[in-house]
Amino acid sequence: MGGICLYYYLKQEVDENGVRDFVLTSYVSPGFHLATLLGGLGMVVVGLFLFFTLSRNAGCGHDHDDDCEGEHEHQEMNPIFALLILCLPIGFSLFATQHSFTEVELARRSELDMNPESFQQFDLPPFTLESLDEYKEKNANGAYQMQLMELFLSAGDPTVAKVLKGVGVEVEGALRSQPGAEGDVTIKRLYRMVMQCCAADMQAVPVKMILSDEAVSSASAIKEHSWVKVEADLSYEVNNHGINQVVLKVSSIQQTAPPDTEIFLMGSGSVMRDRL
Amino acid sequence: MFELNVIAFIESNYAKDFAFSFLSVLFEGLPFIFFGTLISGFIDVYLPSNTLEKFLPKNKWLSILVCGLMGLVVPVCECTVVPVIRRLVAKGLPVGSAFAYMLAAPIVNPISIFSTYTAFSGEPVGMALSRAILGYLVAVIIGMIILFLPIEKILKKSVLERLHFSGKGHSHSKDEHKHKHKHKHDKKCQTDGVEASTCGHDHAEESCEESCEKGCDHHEHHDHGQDKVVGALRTSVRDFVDVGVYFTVGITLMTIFKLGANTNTFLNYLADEGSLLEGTAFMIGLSFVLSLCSTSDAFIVATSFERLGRVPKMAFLVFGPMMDMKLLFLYQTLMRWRAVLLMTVLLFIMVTAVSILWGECYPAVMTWAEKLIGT
Repeated sequence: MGGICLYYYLKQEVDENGVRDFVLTSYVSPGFHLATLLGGLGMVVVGLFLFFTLSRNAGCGHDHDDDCEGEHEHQEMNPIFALLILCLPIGFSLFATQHSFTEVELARRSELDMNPESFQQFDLPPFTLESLDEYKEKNANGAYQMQLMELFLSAGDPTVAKVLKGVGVEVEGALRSQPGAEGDVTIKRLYRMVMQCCAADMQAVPVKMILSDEAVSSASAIKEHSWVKVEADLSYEVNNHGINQVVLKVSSIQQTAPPDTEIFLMGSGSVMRDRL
Repeated sequence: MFELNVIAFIESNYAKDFAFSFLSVLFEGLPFIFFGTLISGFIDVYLPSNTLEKFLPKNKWLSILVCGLMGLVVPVCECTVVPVIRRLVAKGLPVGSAFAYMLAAPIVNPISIFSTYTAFSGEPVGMALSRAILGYLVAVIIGMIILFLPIEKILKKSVLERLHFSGKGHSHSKDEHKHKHKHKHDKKCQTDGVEASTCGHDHAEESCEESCEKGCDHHEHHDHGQDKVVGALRTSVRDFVDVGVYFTVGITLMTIFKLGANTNTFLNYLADEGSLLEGTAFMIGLSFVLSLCSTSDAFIVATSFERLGRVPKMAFLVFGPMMDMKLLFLYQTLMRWRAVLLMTVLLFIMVTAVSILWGECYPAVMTWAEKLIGT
């Protein structure tokens, strides 16, 4: 068990861009990495220590002789049975995992709408167009290069939304059909998975896109859940549930390589502030 | 044919998603299970029986009230607390007080309070304090209910045996107790010229004091520090396997449910047409299935279920750390099946009731608090 924790803590994989990334980042948020390391080390040390003291007559941990052994507690279930229960799902999972969810699960998780207002724990600094100029790079067409999370959050803050409305942006994310408008080729969804705690609780941060004719033909050639780079004008609308959401009026869309860390990690508020 | 089916299953999307999701929860929870069992092993060997009783109020009701707040001093999450409590109960911590601590600690602790405070930025103090207070309330009520129940019906047989061995059992006579000790120790104690029951741990206070007065000094010749460490670690590993098995079963089932359950449609229905009771009951059920860690569940609840309102969210935040799918199995290292089920039902009813009641009072209390702060 300890070995598995340590192995996953240290394991790195090289992605298609040649970038090394720690595999554990896909499983748990950075806040849990130290616990995985310490837990893994602890299990290995305790295991080795007990192995080397196997012959020591300290059996029950109390101040007794050998003859007390029969009196003391033992494993609650047959050790072989216990080991089987432990090893089967763990062994199977280690064998079957691909360190990410499949497209089927991504599709399910990216279906639900999220309310940007509920993310207000991540306080934004005072925001003006000047500060956008100061902090954000522009592409060749003069569009601000923004993070999807930034755009999503902007819908929850009227001050920021007012500044950003109508601004040209370039943003990356995963492409999928818009739930409820699956047959409409002019409406799509751009999303990115966000992890709070571990992969099991991952959810998607979605943004609605309205595609121009040119973008429609480009998008038709792109597989769902692929990473895309879009250039768009930013606008806002209130959806059926009364949630203010971002709408990207997309002029161009092209497939791109996924970023180093596909999942947006939200271990704490400061992570978000740093990124903004 | 069978081989083909197995290979096809392993290569299926479901298996891959299961594996990824399962391992993520394993890496998140396993280290804390290990830390918990490490503590439990050292408690078993180093903590003399009844020590906790000396520090806790003699009055059992007061003791429950105090234990409900212990998480503020000893902050632990729900994965860590179960193995620790198992040992503390065996060491003589009254069962009602132990349950109050076990249920309250994952909520009434600085880490959870701070994470709730941070997650609900719109009303940070109100939500963080409300969660802690409701969690405390439910935990101490359960602790008090347990006072009226026979512990034989609650605790698992193996835990009861340890409890009886430590001299805290309530279902046997003093004679039986003495007999057991004599049987265990007579070889050693006869050598020391002392009759029975006296090694300063795991025994009733009375008998220990009695025999020490008679000059028992056998600790000195077989109480080696290193042996104790080995003993503590062996106990830890035994606990780790016991608890680890239940944890593994719990997260396996949890992952299967999570991948199978499509809650989106139902969430939308509840938000649009559902009653408060339906929403609250659903969120309690969801907290049970999702089995989130109490230190970070507030972030997920705050950002994911916006349209459901604050009462169902609060029910989720109070119920989840006390009972979920992995805890259902972890509790079985301490309790009998029926007792776990009874506690689940009790928690469901109580959390639903206190959450709805809280929802009624909360706006008025907040207005009053704002006025108070204003003046």
